[in-house]
Amino acid sequence: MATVNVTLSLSSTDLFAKQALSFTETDSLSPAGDTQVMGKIILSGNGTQDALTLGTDAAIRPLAGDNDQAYLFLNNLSSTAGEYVQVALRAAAATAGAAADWFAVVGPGEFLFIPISDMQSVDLEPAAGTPAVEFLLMEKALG
Amino acid sequence: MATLKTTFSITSTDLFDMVNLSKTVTANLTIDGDNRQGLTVVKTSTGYLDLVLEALSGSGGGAKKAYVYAKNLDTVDSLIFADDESTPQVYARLAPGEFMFFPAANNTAIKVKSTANTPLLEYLILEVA
Repeated sequence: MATVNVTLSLSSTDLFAKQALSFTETDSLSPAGDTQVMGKIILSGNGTQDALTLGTDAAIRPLAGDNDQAYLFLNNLSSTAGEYVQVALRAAAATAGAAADWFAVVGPGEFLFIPISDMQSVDLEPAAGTPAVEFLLMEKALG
Repeated sequence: MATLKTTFSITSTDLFDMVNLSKTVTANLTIDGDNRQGLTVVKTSTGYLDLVLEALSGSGGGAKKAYVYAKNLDTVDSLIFADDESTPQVYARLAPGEFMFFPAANNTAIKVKSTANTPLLEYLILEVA
C-alpha cells in the first residue's frame, strides 16, 4: 500500500473585515485500489465529456470498492478566461453523466482535491476551448 | 472583492514505481459573492443538513459556484456530501480526519450527513458572484 501526503493552505487578509484567515491542513492517505492514474488530458471541447478512468477495449474501467471511492486531484492548466471545466459524476461506467450530474467547476489556473464517491468515473467538459488538465485519480480500495 | 490564497501539495515515493510524486500548486482566488461563510464547526447527523445559509446563485465562472473547504473532525464515522436534487446524489465522502477543497457548482445547496452518530464537520464556503 502506498502513502500519499497532502497539504492544503488557505489564507486571506481581506475576506472578512474583522478576522484574517490562515490555516494549513495535512493528511497521509493510503490508496489501495487497483486503479491509480496520473495523467494529462487536452479536453475534446464543449459538448463532449471526457472520462478520467482507463478503458478496457471500448469500455471505461469503473471505479470500484466500497461506494466506488477515490481521491481526485485536478488542475486546470489553462490561463484563458472562460475555459473553465465542469466536473461531473459518471454513476455508471457505460453512461456519460447527465446535465444535472456536474457538481464542481475548475476555472483556469484552479485546482480541486476531493474524495469522490458513488461514481464509477469522472466526466470533464470545458465551457469553451480545449483546455489541458492534469489529474491524479487514486482509487481507495479494491473492489 | 477579496483574495483567497491557496496552496496544495501532494507527494508520494511509492504510489508509482517509475516516478516519485511531488507537486505543489498555488492559486489566488477572487471571492466576490455575497455569501461568505467563515470557518464553522457543526454537528451532523444521519439526516441531510444543508450547509449553505443562502442558496448559491452566482453565474460567474460556472453556475452557482462556491469554494468549499471541509474537514471531518471525527475519528470514527464518515461524512457524506450530496447535491441539491430531490433525491440527493452523493458525490463525496470524507473518512475520519480527511479534508477536501473544491469549487462547488451547479447546486444551490451543499448537503451533508453522517454514516452514523453525530460527527463534527469543520467547513468554509465562499461564493462566487
